[in-house]
Amino acid sequence: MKVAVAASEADETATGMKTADFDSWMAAEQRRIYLLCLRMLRSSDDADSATQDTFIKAHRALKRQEKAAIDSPARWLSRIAVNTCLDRLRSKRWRFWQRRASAVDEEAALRLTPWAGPNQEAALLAREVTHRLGAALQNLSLRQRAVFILRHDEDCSLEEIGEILGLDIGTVKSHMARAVRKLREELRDLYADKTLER
Amino acid sequence: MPTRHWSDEEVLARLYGVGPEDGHIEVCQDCRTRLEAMELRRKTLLDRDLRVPAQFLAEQRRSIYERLERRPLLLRLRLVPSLAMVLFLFVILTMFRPSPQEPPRIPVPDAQVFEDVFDIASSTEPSAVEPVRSLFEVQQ
Repeated sequence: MKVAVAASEADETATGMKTADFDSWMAAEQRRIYLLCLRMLRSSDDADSATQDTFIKAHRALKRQEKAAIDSPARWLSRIAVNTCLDRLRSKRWRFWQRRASAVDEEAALRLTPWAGPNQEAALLAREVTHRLGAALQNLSLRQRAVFILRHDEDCSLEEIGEILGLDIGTVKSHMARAVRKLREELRDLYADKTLER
Repeated sequence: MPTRHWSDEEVLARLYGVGPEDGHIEVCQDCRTRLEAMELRRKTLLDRDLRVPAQFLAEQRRSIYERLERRPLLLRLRLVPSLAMVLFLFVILTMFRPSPQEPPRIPVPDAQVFEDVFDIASSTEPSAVEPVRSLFEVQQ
C-alpha cells in the first residue's frame, strides 16, 4: 500500500492523490498507533497527544514530499510514532515535577490486556501478567523499551526494528538481549502454559 | 553438535530474535516445538481484544484536524518562550557586564614629581617650544 496526501483539495490534481486517502489511512492506523504510544508512554493523555503529533508530522511530511509516495506507510508511521514517544520520554526526564502515571492511566493500560475468552481465569491471569510486564518495561532504557515493544507488540523483525529506530542489527540485538534479561521473570510468567511444558 | 536441550530462557531469547546460535533449534524437534508454542502464545496475546472506544478515536481525529488547521498560530506561539529567553539573557548580560579594567598605576617617587614641577615652573621658554625641542633631543 502506498499513501500520499494533497495539501488541499486544490492540490489534488497536482499530486494525483486525494486528501481522503490520508483520512482513511489515518482511520485505519489510528488505533494501532495509539496503542503503540500507550505501551511506550503508559499514560493515556500522553499517548493521545503523541498519536496526534504522529499524524500531524506524517501529514506535513507527506505534504512536503509532494508526488513521492511512501513504500511501507505502516513502518514509516511506526517510526514517527516511536521517535515521538522517545522524544517525549526524554523530555519527561527533565520535567521531574510532572506527575507519574495515575491510577486512571494504569487502568487504561490494564484495559488493553485480554479479558474476553473461553477461559476467564486464564484471561485474568494473562491480564495480570501483561500488566506486570508493562510496569517492568519502565525499568528498561528508552531504546530497550522501544526495541522490545516493536518486537513483542508490533511483531517486527529485528531488521525492521533497526530500520525504524535507525540502528544497525548488532545494536538492536544487544538492546533486545538486555531487555529480555531484565524482563526474564515477567516473560517467564507470561509464557508459562501447560502447552509449553516438556 | 550440542546434545543438551535449550533452557526455557534460551528458547524465550530466541523468540525475541536473540539467544544461542549453536544451531540446536534447527535440528531438535522438541525445542522447536517449545519455541513454536511460545510464538503461538505471543500471537494469541497480540490478537487479544484491545478495547479502544470508537468515540475516543473519533474525538482524537477531530483534535488532529483542528490542530492541522491552527498549526501556524501554534508555531508562532512556540517562539514566544524562545524569544523571552533571548531577551532575558540579553538583559542579564547587559546588567552584569564587567567594567573595563583600569591600567595599573606605577608609583612615582615624590622627589621626581617635585623636580618635574620645579622644572616647569622655573622654565623661561614658551611652552610651544617644547615639542620642537623634543625633535632634536637624543634618545638615551
